Amino acid sequence: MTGLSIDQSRCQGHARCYMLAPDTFLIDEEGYGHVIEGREGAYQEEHVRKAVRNCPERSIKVIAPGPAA
Amino acid sequence: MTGDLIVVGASVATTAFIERMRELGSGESITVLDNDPDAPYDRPPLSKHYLVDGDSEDIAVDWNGLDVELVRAEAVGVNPETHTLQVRGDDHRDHDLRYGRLVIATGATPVHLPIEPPGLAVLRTAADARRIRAQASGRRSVAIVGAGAVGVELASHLARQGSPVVLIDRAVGPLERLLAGHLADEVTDWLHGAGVVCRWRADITDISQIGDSWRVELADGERIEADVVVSAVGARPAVAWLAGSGLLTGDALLADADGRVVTADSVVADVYAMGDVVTRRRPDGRLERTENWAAARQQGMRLAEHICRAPRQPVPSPYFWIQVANRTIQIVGTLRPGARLDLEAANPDRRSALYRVRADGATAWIGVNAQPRIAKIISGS
Repeated sequence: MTGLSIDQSRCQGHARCYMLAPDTFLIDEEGYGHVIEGREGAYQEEHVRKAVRNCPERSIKVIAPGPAA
Repeated sequence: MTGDLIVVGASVATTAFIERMRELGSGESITVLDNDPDAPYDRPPLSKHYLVDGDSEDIAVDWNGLDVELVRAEAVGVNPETHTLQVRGDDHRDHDLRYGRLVIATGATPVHLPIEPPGLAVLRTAADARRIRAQASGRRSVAIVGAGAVGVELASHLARQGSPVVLIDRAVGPLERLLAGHLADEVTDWLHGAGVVCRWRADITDISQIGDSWRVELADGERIEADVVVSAVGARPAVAWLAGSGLLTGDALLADADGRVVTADSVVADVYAMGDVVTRRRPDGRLERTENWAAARQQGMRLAEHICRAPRQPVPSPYFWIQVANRTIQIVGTLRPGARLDLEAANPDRRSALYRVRADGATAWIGVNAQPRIAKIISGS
């Protein structure tokens, strides 16, 4: 699947993604980050890229779509 | 302005600095020098999942779109009078590079105990992490000298991999500096539970190599045998290359809150520093350093705001975290020895706890698996 996702085994709940891009990430009740449904494709927006770079665990993955098969 | 803006070191602070420069609209050309072939990358995963099974994607920092030129070279000297940097390239030849502004972000370098023989493993770079992974693979035994953040995380992750691990420190407990003496018994219990053998108050008298393995001797006569010995006793700013430049005060590179390099009597024109390499003078005159990801990022952003003459963002509370034996410990604020520790909330099922730490009217927090509460504290909601 292309787009943004969070590797739950890596996420430590620093909440930086949520603070930088609250329109794209949320924090669940356990404290871990998730991509808001429908926002998986927002990885090119500058504030979302910043959130990706700001994850200290590098747990936010971006899979860009490859060339059309 | 003649010459470029040159950053020495593709560090954590460097990424934050460039990000903020571009965010503030600076189109200035930026060159970053670093001879680490893995750079740029993030350091927190090195002693965690990257150590165990990570690949380059787990640490890589994406500089695409930030318009930076990264040059594989090492800075070996600087002349602030002539705005010249001496640079050693891949070909081992030195040449001079003129700079308009120079930003020093060379980070820190591991320190060694006087009794350490050559050949012990250290953890600072991605290559170091891969080396330890290879040496400890196949459940080989590991002795780790130093129970700071790096030592404790290494011990936790290597033990989980199945390696017999002995963690040795001369302090009375683990993480003594980071946790200011708090929770030493708890962290020791967790380490024991994870299979780590702990030796506190241990004076090492000798470390020697015997064939393919190592022997660590303690003052009480104990001999610890291990296939691998890791030295994790700490790090000091990587400033050796600045000797004779006039930029150092004693052996420290001092910078002000904006990141301008200062000497005893002046601010050095066009030279800045950020991240682990920096020492700061507190209002009471004492010198202090920070060695952590959040502080490095904050310093990088602040320097960009200074250079772009932009409004300064408020400095967030200090924030640090470590992973110990499948628990995440988060620290917000400044811990002081002897402060009062109150348990605010606990959930034994989740092995979580939140402590409020009070001293001199200031409050700090320690969370153990308490990410939701800490997230609220950090974001001020």
